[in-house]
Amino acid sequence: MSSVSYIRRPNRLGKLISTPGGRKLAEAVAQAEANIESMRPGMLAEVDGALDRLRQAAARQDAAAHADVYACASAIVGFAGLCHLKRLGEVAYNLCELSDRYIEAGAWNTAAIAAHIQTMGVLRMANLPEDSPEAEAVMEGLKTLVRRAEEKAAAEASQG
Amino acid sequence: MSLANLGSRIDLRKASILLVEPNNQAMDVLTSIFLGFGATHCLKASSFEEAQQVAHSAPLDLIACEATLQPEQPDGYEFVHWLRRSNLEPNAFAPVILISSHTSNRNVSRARDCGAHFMITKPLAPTVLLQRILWIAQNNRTFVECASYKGPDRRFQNLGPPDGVGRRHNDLSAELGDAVERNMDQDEIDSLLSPKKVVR
Repeated sequence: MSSVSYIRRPNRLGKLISTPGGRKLAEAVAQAEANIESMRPGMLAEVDGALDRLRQAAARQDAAAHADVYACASAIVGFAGLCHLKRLGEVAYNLCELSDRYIEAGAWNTAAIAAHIQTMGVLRMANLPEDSPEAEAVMEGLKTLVRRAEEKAAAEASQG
Repeated sequence: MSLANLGSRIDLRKASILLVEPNNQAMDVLTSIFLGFGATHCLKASSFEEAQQVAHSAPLDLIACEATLQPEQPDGYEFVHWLRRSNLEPNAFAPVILISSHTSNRNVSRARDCGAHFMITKPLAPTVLLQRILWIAQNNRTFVECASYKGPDRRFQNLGPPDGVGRRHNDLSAELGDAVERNMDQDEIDSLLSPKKVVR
């Protein structure tokens, strides 16, 4: 059995944080949220830029394209939720999951990736209220498209 | 875990905080959150190399690091792995929060095994980030050092040994022995839990 050491260190952060003064927790959160809100135009530009790069990456055939799709989807996840684009962020997260799974498996389903990108485009342009039936229908439509695309790919793989 | 249970104030004015984030806009978001929390001394790095340089140059009280850094370069997980084995005092033991857009099982496992204290997911929610900072500040986890791992103790939730198999000298056996005494009856239990007033 290899040797294991257990090391107890002084809690520097704990001491600093608990010094008298500072901000009330609620005030700290409120100030942080207000700071984020003031950056919304820049974050929306990041979402739109990442969406454009995502479309371009999905259209490419080179070796780095799949990793770029994943990276662009990750970038959208990071900003969409902060711009009150929760649904768009959810689709981007699903695209992260999907592209990560495809990259790991050495597979790629162009139709399923395209369905995600089109859905994100619709959600960005249509400006649907987050919990509206229309937004829900768009999300359901995406699930159906992806399921069909994966079933089709599986059927083709079993025939070939 | 709610903020209400974790004290009423936070003072980050004297804390030295390293923020590692390759995207400028995301760095601005991260910085603005910490400024909102009252931090005044944020050091910034946009790559693995820059983060290493900062770690060499100043004592750090907290590190918030994006998991995905520059393409074709070591990522945030590798930075934390390097930091833990760097023997830098006191930074090798600094609390690290990894931040990731995609928290797949693989990424969360990597975060745990590279020596990070926590992983939080984007989009960044100030409440969640503050909760994690307070949790780290109030729970000083012991560091474990062995051939395959160096970092905060990964067992901190009192869930017992992983998969019920004890590997540490103080792990109890998963096998339960036979009872050595009879079970207490309900009256005996009640007498222990509901003390009666003594009649003089």
